[in-house]
Amino acid sequence: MFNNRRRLISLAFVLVSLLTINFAIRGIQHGRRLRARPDEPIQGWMNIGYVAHSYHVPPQVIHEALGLPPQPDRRPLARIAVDTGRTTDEVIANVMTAIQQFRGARPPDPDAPAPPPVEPRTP
Amino acid sequence: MTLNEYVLQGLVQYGLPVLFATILFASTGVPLPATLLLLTAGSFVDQGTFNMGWVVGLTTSAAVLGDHVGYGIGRWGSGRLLATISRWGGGAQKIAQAEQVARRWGGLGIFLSRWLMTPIGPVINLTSGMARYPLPAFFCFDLVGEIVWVMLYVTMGRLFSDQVQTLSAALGNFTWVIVGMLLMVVLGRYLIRPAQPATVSERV
Repeated sequence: MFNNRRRLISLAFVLVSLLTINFAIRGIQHGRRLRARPDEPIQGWMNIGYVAHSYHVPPQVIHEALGLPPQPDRRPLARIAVDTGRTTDEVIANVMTAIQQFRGARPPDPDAPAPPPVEPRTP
Repeated sequence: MTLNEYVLQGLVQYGLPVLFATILFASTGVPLPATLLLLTAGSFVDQGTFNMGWVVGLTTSAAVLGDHVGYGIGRWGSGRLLATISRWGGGAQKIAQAEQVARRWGGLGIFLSRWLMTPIGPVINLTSGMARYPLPAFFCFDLVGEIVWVMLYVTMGRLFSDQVQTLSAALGNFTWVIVGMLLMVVLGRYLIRPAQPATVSERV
């Protein structure tokens, strides 16, 4: 009885340890991604303001892409899609295209940090 | 659409009432993305959509209210619930031991489970009520802990206002790492204790 209980607790200890290591690895991976500051995937819950803020583009770029007047609009993209008779995926695709076009047309930011130098590999 | 997206869309569309309701229900133990919502609210504060004072005030009130609902269920809930938990936990003697532990470590446990080990917060509310931890002390530790949680997460949401989803994923994982380490300490302490001799009935 006592040994069975001890065995069960040992098993629980091993399981908890493995899960903790798994969470730690995933947490470190997400932390690294956070430092790299990549673009967050656009989702239907986001509104124009959030997307513009996240992608560092003027909100007007997204307003124009969606054919909306340049007024503050707090509606989520999913709601805009419903209101304008489109699917959320179509709206997101339009927004992405506009952001890429804006970034392609914009001259490079002189204040942007330079990419890290590539270290030569030693054999 | 996932639950997270559904709740976030509600926050974007309807604002602070959705934040209040979500934090309130999440604090009572309903599995809702409270942390993600708080970080997103911080992002909206940074963008000038929400007012910092309103976010902090409403969120802290909702969290404290939800925690006290859990405490109340534990303390004044039906005898049947208490009997079931008591049976599950090992009887009245174990409940008495839990009460002693709650009185000794309760304050620190309540405070840390508000902001550092948030997944166990609703359980601590329930057990604090069951162990009849003094209500004024529970309120004080709860309030201070929730203020730390709200300020910490809203500030991080403001600092990483363009990265709330990645930040939420990273913080969620690290929270579970802390909970896992706590469990490992509890289980490890049991395992390194010298084995007790078997009782007469076990020897036979």
